Amino acid sequence: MSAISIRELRKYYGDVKAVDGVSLDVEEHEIFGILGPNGAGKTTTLEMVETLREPDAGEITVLGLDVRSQARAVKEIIGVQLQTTVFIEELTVWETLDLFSCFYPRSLPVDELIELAELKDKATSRINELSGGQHKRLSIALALINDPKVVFLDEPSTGLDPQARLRIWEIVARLREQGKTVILTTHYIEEAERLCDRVAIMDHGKIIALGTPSHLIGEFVPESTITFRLRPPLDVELVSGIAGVESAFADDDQFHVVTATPQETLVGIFTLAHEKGSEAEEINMKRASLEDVFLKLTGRRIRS
Amino acid sequence: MRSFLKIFVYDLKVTLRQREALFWLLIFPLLLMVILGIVFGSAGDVKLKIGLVDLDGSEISQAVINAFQGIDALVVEVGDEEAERAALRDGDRNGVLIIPAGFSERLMAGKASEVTVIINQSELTTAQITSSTLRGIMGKMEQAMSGVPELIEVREEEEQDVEDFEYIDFMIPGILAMVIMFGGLTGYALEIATYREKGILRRIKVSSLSLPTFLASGIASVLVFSLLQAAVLLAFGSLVFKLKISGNYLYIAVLVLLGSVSFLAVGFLIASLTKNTRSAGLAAQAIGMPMMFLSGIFFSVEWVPAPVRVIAHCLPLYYLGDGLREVMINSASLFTVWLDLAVLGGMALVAFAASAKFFRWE
Repeated sequence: MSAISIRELRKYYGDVKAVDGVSLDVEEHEIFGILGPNGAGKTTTLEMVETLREPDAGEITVLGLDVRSQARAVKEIIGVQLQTTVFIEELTVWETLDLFSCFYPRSLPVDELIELAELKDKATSRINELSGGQHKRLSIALALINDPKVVFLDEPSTGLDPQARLRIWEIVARLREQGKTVILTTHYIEEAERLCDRVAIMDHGKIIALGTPSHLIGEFVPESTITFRLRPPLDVELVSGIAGVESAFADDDQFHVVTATPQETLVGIFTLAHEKGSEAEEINMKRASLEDVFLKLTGRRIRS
Repeated sequence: MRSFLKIFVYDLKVTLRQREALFWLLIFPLLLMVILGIVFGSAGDVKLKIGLVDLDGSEISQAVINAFQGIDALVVEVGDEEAERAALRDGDRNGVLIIPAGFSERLMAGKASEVTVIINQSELTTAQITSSTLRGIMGKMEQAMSGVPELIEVREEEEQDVEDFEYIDFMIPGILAMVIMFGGLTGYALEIATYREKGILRRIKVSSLSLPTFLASGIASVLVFSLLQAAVLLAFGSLVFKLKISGNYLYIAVLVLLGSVSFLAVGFLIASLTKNTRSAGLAAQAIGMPMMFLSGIFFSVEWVPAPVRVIAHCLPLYYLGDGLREVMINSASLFTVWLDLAVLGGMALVAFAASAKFFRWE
């Protein structure tokens, strides 16, 4: 059974097709990412699965439960972090968790959640004394309060500095260890590549690509870029002739080549250098990223 | 039930931690009561403030000062002439009495001696009272010193059981009604509007808690708080202004709770119909303010022109004020104030039904 199954989901706001026929399955224990630019329909999709929004059309089940007819049962097994939740200012971190814990028939001990969210030294602080990262971690702790089977994280690290983002990633990694199914939205390439088992790339309300990050890159942008120096430099024509090279470009003694078969091309570079009495140095190889996949599919960058 | 209680306790906690709100809900009504009480309430209780200037500095002049200080109805200040005259000009003294140099010597020599009395003439009645009080006291002293027996003796009898309702007894139930109204219109209803704006309501929506449970515990905490407000207000009124509550406390509580619920319902309706917390707050003020002035809260509507009286009878606050006043002062039973109860109850039902219809999660 899939953790989440979505079929032909649609949500229109007037002429705007916020979600336009989305179908996907998220497996149990999977960390699943929905990647896309702002306004792609990621949050709307998530909110329909979370029972927050009524779909115009389509079917959604969570662990076999229908989201519309069995909403209450669904709410008990899901944990939701909303993109923008501000908490009650007058309460402390501990009190906030304690208050929300009574919203569920079954809940984890508050101290355990505080431990997981690394908020131990902030337990007695008021909400308005928290940093952005601490605030996000508290909202993740809130999403885990009922020990849910499926966790929704809507842009868990948006607006955070790299250090704070890293701590969020550590928490998500711990959720993976606990065997939870996590579905998250993001517009950070690195977040999707590092955290997610599979990624759906969304644009204009539709899923335009779906698969593991390396599968997506292999399928849409299989080429790697190799950068190196040749001392003394050789003619760029010679470099273009290396096996597997699709295009080559020289900048003084620095060369950039694009290849779909990097191993073959690397061997070719060394062979050429050896034959012509040149030295190949500072060799760098860069694989394509999901950003390149998005670029290739839409002609735009994700974060414009 | 577990969640009901916990949310109830946290709601009370949140209310008690809102310092600014506490000022408006608890302290401000007391200040208002003090101000109104001083301005309109207790003219009969005002003590005369007398300045004494002793230019003689003898044992006899000191005895005069001691005699003045022994009179309960006076506040006596002793100072030099210039300062006391200045205080009188500033309106800080009702009268100043100057004992001249050589006062005791002349007395000892059996000669007539004069003291100067300056009276603050800004208020005629008070000036009269001050003047005759000072003359009376000096006359008594003269009599005592000269040893002439009193021919007419005044015997005072105290009558305790007087049915007098002062302004304060009218005003305090009115202030209580006003506090309940503003508490209902702006308190918890705006809190919920804030929760809506901040996305807290959405977070509750994705949990398995039902909204009615959440709201019911919130409302319960509002009701408990309104009883606390009423208790503080009435206790303060009794201690400071000797407010006489002759009615049944249970009936007072019933009116406080019903008034609270029904204005809370109106507050919810306002919050549901307005775009955000800010406009909800402004709308609540716009509705509350005219009601406060037109519903016979500070003055009886019997004293105003007939058209205004008609308007007053259309305003729900009038019925809360009327009910509280009847029960507190006239020892009315709940049966007597049935109309007040019916109006408040009806408003609660209509407003709750309407706000349920217009409720928004976000």
